[in-house]
Amino acid sequence: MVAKMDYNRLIAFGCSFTYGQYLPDDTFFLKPDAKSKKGLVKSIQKKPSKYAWPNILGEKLNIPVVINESHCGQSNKAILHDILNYKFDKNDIVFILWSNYDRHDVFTAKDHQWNINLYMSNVRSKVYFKYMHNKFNTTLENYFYFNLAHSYLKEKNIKHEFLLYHDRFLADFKWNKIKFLDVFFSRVNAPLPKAYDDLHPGVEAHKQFGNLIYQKYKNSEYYTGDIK
Amino acid sequence: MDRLVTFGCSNTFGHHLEDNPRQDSPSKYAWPNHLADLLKVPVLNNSKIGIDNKEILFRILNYDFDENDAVFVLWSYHDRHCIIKNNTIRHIGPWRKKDKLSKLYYKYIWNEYDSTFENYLYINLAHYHLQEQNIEHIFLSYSQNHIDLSLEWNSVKFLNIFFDDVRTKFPPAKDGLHPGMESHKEFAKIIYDKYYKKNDFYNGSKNGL
Repeated sequence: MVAKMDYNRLIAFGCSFTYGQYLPDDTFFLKPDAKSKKGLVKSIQKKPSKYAWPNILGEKLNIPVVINESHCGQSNKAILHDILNYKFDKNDIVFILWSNYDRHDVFTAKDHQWNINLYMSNVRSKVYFKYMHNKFNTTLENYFYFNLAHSYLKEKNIKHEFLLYHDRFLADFKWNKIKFLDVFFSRVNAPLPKAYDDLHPGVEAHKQFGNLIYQKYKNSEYYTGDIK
Repeated sequence: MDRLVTFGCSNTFGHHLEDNPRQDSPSKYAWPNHLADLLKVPVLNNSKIGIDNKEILFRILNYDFDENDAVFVLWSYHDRHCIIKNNTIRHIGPWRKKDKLSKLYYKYIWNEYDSTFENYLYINLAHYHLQEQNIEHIFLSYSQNHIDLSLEWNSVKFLNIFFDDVRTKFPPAKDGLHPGMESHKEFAKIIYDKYYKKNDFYNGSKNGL
């Protein structure tokens, strides 16, 4: 049990699932009657949604400041890059919902990167996924990112908790030091209404996920089950 | 210390030194053997020709260390990479001019900023992994050009000696490129002096050589 919540800031890192993409305050309707029709809505991406899980969790933990540092489409390499370059305070608590394995980023400068994604049609993405991608290598690299983020935050004495969207991203490397909280957003999201693009988690899914993270964190419940 | 355990590429293997024309095991003339002689301990040289820093990290993470091991890692060139698939590893290197994978990698993926980020990622993860097991470890960089002191998140210190600087002062190995036998011997002596006598780590200015 966590006895006392005395953190000043909750810092969240992640991708669109942390940003709250296509939630009501991140959606522009291209046609007035276009609600829930894919392709007829646009993500605004000016700021993370107030309905996204970090805000729900911040309220439950009674933390006065929630800073949502997520970006839509971000890979885990980019999330690590953001963490390593972030100015943390000693009373921060960090929650990271790591992203999918179907994406990668190549940095060209501290503030610029080439996005590589399985579903993008640009040459760089095509080349990467045809010649440089396999499940083992991708999983290995992602576990490098998780473990470096963990050791880095641990060395700085920054409290941090790691989350995964789906349990299929789990792997069993003997050198891995990461424990993930025992809640996966995909399981929460599956039976619930989606956001306006019909793909991303909806308002209720974010709410339930935030509440579940709180319970699992409070009870220190980490995933110990099967790894596929 | 009970054992000296080393990791690296051809520059740790002793590529093209006199004793091993088939290159099927590390050379007895390579710097790890000389350093082990100075330290009076047995050596386990886990280097491999042509590998990159990602594979060096992979080997370190999967190695069963003993608590009294001292680990010396001579990190490799930053412009190399590899793709790992279960038990096979595809190497990517700038000298592989006819290799399709290497050509595509340098055309579409590689750039200096990203390469520095990834290599420091591997090196820092190795450092944390060894530190968390309380394994004594000393990191070496082949060239000063690989050092980036501007990365605020970097936790690694390198010993203040670069093999590239030693290499140019002595005759090369048989291929005319790799460090020769005298370079390896001298490099080991300087490592011993810099670490065990002076605790001299690189902070932007070279001392000695």
